[in-house]
Amino acid sequence: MKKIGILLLLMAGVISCGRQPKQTNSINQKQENNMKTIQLTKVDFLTKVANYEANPQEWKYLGDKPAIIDFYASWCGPCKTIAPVLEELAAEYGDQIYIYKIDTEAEQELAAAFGIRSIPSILFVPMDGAPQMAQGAMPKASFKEAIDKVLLNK
Amino acid sequence: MRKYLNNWDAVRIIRLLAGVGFGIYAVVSKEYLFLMLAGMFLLQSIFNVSCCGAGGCSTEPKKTKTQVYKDQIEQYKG
Repeated sequence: MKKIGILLLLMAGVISCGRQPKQTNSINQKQENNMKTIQLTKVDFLTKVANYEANPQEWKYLGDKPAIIDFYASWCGPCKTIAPVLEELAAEYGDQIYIYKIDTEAEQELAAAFGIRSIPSILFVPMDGAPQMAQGAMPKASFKEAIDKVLLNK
Repeated sequence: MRKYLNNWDAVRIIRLLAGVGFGIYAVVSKEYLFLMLAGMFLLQSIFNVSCCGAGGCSTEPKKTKTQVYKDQIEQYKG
């Protein structure tokens, strides 16, 4: 009986930590339409952020405003936690910065190109200077601090 | 309420079944510790959450692409 218990516990670990597949229902589609954050694909990334295929050695930001790029997945709880925070920030700083979102499940090549091993990963992209990567969910106050310091140089 | 009724994917259904299964097993075998496990699975299933840490989830990147701008992207030190 104990062996069965241990086996069940092992199974539990596997099931518990399994990834959830992408959610693509109509409710999510409707929510996406109201979003102020911008969903990026690889093609968009190459034209709006940095063309790492043409210029893989030197970072050159192509945008006209600083940006935050959120690497996320639909099955990731902490990503869901920061999603409304990013929407609020997009509404507050909409004219000063871009807030992009990249689905690491849909854009696996993009995630691999940036070595994303933990989600959410947040890339802060200033107009000048090196981009900075933060791992893990952050509270809104920390986001605001990062926007002011890294992106807007306040 | 609606978000809890939608998006019933395979993993979520498995969690629900595992929760019910562990619950039955706990009662039948009188190993009541399994009730905690059953509760955890049922909560995960109902609220559709996985077992990531508080700050983030680990993910395995596709290994077909070399990492770009590795030396140019700095770590954010909040």
